[in-house]
Amino acid sequence: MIETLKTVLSDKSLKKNKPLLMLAVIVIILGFLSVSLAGKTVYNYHESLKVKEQIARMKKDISDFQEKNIMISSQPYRPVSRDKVDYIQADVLLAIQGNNLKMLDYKADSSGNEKKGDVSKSFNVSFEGSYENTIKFLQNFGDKDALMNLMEVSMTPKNGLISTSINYRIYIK
Amino acid sequence: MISLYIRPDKTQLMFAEVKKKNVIDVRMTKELPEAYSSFFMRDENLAIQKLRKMFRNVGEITQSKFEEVYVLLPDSLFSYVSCFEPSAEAVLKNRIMQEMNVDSLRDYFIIDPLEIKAPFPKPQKSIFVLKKKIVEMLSKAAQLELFSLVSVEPYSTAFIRGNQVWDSDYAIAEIFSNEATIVTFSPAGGIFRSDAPHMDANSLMADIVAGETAFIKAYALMKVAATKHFSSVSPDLKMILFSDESAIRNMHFVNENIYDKKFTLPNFVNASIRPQDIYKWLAFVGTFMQGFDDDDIVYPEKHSSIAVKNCNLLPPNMQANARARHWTKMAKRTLTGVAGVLAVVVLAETAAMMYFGSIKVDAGLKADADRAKVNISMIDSELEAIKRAKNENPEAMKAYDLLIKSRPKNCNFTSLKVGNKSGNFTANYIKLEAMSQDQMAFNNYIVNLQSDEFFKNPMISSIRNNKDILQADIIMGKAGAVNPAAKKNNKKEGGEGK
Repeated sequence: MIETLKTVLSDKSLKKNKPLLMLAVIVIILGFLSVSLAGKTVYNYHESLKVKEQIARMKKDISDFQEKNIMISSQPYRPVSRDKVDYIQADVLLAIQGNNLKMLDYKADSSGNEKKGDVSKSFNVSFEGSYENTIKFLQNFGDKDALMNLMEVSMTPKNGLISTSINYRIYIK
Repeated sequence: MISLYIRPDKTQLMFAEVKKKNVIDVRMTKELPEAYSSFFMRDENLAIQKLRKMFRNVGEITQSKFEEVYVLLPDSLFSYVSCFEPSAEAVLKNRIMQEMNVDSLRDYFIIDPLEIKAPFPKPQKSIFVLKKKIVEMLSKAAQLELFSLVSVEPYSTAFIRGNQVWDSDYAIAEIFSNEATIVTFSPAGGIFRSDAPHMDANSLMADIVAGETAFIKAYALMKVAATKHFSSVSPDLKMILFSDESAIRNMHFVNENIYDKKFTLPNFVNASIRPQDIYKWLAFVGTFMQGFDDDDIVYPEKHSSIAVKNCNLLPPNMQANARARHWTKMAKRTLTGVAGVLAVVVLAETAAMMYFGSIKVDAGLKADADRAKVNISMIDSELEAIKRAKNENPEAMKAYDLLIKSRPKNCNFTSLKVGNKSGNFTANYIKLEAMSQDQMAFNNYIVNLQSDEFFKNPMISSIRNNKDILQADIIMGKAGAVNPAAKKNNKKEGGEGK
């Protein structure tokens, strides 16, 4: 055994076995290459998992958006932007006039100390007129291109007319 | 591994594998055309070509390369086989030269495979001498055909090792067409060879009666020689006959003197060989057993006075060279395989690395997702507003219609308030002042309102009489309404609890 090993490792034998040495060197190089590539592959694999997770999250965000968009598009009335509130308010005042009602008072309700994050703006309007006109106005009140709630309606007969005070909210986005 | 018995008439082959725990698994036994004549060719190149052809045949039949090859040579091929009293090497060589009638042993390989020591009264050393050229030609031919020649052994010593009978003497008669020899083994003396020039198969078969007589004579001469060499010889020394001729095997003398013990393969040999043919293959197994380290397995029941030494005519340096070549070839084959596998692995890893590396977020998808993220917060706030609007909707006009519908005819309103700014519709949802001359009208109104699921707890809070006109304050809540302040508090408490 030792004799064989000596023969294999002898200078003469090693010189004869240059291809074998080359092969051993190639195997060692391939081994190192394989190990380093394995490391890089594992790293890339973990990175790809993260990217896949990111892609899934993005797709979910888009899908959620689309779902909510459909949902919100199906709503009959939608909140308006802050800059549209004045237009809606003008519509309300126009409707009072349009229904032959006399406006007595109008003010924005600032009792709640309006904050930046508030989703609605409240208004108080008082007017008087005939019962029919008042009811007609009230029944058509929500028929604006905005999400509104008639929060309070007070009606009192006065000299054959109806004196009405309303508080309403225009919802903003 | 492969063992080859290069006989004068043919070459026999055994292909086996040594498994763990020293088990010899015989895969194949075959016969090939003769290559023996190459040892007597004048042209060495032609001789090597013939031997190479034999090795090529072996490779084709066994479908193998780089195998270790053990060669068995008939004892008749050896220049000298005998036994002597142990003496100094120089004295022994001189004696061999005298016996062989040569001036030098430079062209010969000499081995002393067996030595009989004390307590036997006549210590003996068995000697085998073979021309170097034969071994060198075999080695060269094997090398050229990518086989590793690791042993060249006399047939007799391999047979004795394979037979594993160490307590009785016997003769081994190797009879071929044109030559024959009788080798005798004795546990008390060793091995010697008797040349039997008239015992070849052709001579014996030419006249079977005269042949038998010649056989008897040769056998008798062998016995006489045995008494000279050995301290004791069995009177009925039995013979193991190796001859393909049934006429010789059926000779009366042969039948009387044939070895009558049953031949069995050693228990560590797995082979499907017919029982009557086992003795023909014992030498093949025996030569493989040289590689075994455990003497208890190879030489069971051998008396310690019988020393089995090196039976391999291949010098240690040639053995080492052959094994080194074998190792080198094996290493090359293994490294090539490993390199191939690694190359595939590297390619696969590169492909996997590139594939995993190529998975990136699409720019379009990222832009869409970013847009969705920005817009979704707006949509969320919008949905929140819608939800809140739905929750705090007092449904004032619906309430008004129901109030009008439920109102008795003799009951009128003097004031009406539906809803409130705070959005709390639990109790103060409706506050109305009704007037009637009949108090029952108020009661009927309350009953009507109670039957409506839209309202909650309608009740008269007070009644006043104003000039015979009754005025009643009626209040009620909205069914299912929740106090938003309480809702907020609950949320706050829940949050703090966390």
